[in-house]
Amino acid sequence: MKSPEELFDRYLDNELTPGELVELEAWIDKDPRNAQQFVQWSATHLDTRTAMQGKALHDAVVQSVDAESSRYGPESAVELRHGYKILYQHLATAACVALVMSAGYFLIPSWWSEDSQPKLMPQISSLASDAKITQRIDCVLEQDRWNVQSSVYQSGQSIQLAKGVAVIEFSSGASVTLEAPAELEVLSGNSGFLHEGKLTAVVPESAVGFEILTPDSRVIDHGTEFAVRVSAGVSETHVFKGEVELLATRRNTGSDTPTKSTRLTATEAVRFDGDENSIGTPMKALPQRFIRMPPESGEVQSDLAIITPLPRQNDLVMWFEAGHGVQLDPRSRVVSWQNLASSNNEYPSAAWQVAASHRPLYEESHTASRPAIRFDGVEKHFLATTPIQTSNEMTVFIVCDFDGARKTDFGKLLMLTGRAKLSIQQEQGSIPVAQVFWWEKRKTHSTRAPSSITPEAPIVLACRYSLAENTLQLFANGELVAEDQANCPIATEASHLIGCNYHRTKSFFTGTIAEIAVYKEFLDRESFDQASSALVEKYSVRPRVEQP
Amino acid sequence: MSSDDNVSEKAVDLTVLWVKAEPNLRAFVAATVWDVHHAEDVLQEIASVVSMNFASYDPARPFLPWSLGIARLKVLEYLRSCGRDRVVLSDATLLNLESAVQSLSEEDLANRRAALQGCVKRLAGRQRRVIELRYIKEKPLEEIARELATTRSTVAVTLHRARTALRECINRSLDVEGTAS
Repeated sequence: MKSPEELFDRYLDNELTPGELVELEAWIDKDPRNAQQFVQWSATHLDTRTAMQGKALHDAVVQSVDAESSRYGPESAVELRHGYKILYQHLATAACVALVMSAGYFLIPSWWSEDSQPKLMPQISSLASDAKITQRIDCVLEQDRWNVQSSVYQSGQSIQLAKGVAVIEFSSGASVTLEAPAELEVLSGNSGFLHEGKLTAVVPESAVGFEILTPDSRVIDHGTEFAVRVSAGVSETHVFKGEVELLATRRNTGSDTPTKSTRLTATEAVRFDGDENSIGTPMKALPQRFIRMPPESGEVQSDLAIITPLPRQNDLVMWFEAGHGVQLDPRSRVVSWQNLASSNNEYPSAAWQVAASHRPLYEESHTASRPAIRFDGVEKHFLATTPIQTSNEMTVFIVCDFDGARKTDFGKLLMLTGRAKLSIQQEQGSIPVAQVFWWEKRKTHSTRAPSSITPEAPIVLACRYSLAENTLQLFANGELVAEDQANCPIATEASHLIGCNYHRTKSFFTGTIAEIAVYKEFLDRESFDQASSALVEKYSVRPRVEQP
Repeated sequence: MSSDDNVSEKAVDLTVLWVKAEPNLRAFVAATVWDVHHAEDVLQEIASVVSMNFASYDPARPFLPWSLGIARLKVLEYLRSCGRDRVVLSDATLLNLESAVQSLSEEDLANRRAALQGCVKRLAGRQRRVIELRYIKEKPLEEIARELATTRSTVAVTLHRARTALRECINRSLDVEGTAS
């Protein structure tokens, strides 16, 4: 068996066998004095080259001490009296550092430098980015308030989120979903410090070792998905997949040295409540407390959900079906609703509600015993989509129900926003209307297709819009019920709204929506009828009864 | 006070703190990044991150643990970039080494470094030649063996003896200094 010193030297030369590595680690871990010995040997190893090379600069530094020492106060004088010779040499170098730093550079104390020239660090602006924002979900960054817009961050910079959700990709490949209000400081390309707020992290194999620090703890990833929350002196770590290593840090242990690490595996969580003596309270992981990005978001997939046999599915730009891809919070409120028409997009498209108080309710069994999303106009529920491109030729289907005792007089089911806005809305509580309005020559113009029907529940509303054909049409269960002219281009790429007007402050819809399908085409009659029939059949919609 | 004065004061604060913590940070990097050339690079990166983050450092808290946190992250970054090309100590051992670094005084580390300066001068003959080739020329054992017309295992033994000689020399120097004071 080799001695620890022999093992150490083999470690330096990268010669250790796996068995020897285990031996060496066991020796280090066995006794803190062994670990100290290892560190001292290591320091000597690193300094050996320095010592062999550094004579010239060393002499120069010693000569410069007299000239520079007057810059330092009593503290350095005391240290000198205590014989900190090397430190004194460093202070001389440090004086140079201070001077250079004021010019924007940081000089590494380098008395050992081979060429006797100081090494200059590049300025921050020339460093590669350590993290970047790849998605913004209805979010406001503090920096945006001051016209300082950037999606790229380097070590030491903070991402302060005032509202919404942002997805941040670290250079290591780790992806973090940050939920406002939050402040995340980027420490490196593979680590961050969460000062406040909530985040979830998805860590690929390339980024194993990714770290999130909090005031109470250090979370080290071992290939997993986990979440961290920091709020009002409380911090929590939840593991959804894989395993993390968790260490309580200074504030809890009263020591600068981390405590022994704890391994957390899937479904486990630990909470620190600011108690100095606490090493954390174990609890069950609660994934629904955190916003997660698809496909990790654990959306509802209803047993009854079937993909509607819609025609020309490649022409769909929006397709929301309540049985698919609905992410819920702990109160069964809808956080996100996946856009099934977006499979080819680089980033997943969905309709979101990041504010808990405005989230509509998920109902597992509603329309034809299928899932639906319930919007309460009084509670101001709505969803906003990620940006989606529309065209001047559109066809929209909505399976909805104007039910409920708490009707509002006026509510938007769907509003395609842009310079001109196409909406399908309820008026006088239950009258469906299709409308396009726009601002021109200092006043609002509109075309309207108001129906005269009182729909039975549920109903398949549809709208066809064509600038080329100059027509706006409203259908109920496949029958044309109202018509007007088109007049205005509506094509745009924007976030569109489900359940309210474009201001997000009024015209909140009351009722349920089970499915929305939006084509970027003015569907021909055959395709239109095919789509209508598929939805009518799926949701067991009864034929509309003519009103007297 | 002008903003230039503030910058200058801040710079002096940082440099004084850095100088005091540097032997420990350097020792930590040395213990975890055995390749001398890369260790210097990692140390420089740590200095860069420390300087950029210095505005967020709370002066009421000790500087070493704060900067050691940054050092650990930079070291882990480096170790990941090595892939399987080298042996990597386990997380638990790294934590033990981090604790050990914090428990060592910068004075002790600085004194060891100073003693080393004298000890390398005493190296002679084949041991000195092997140390020069390994540390200054950064040659692998095979090349050193070729240059010295000997075997790889002989070079490994000579290198081990030279390193042991340096470590023992340092210990003797510090013992003498301790006795003298």
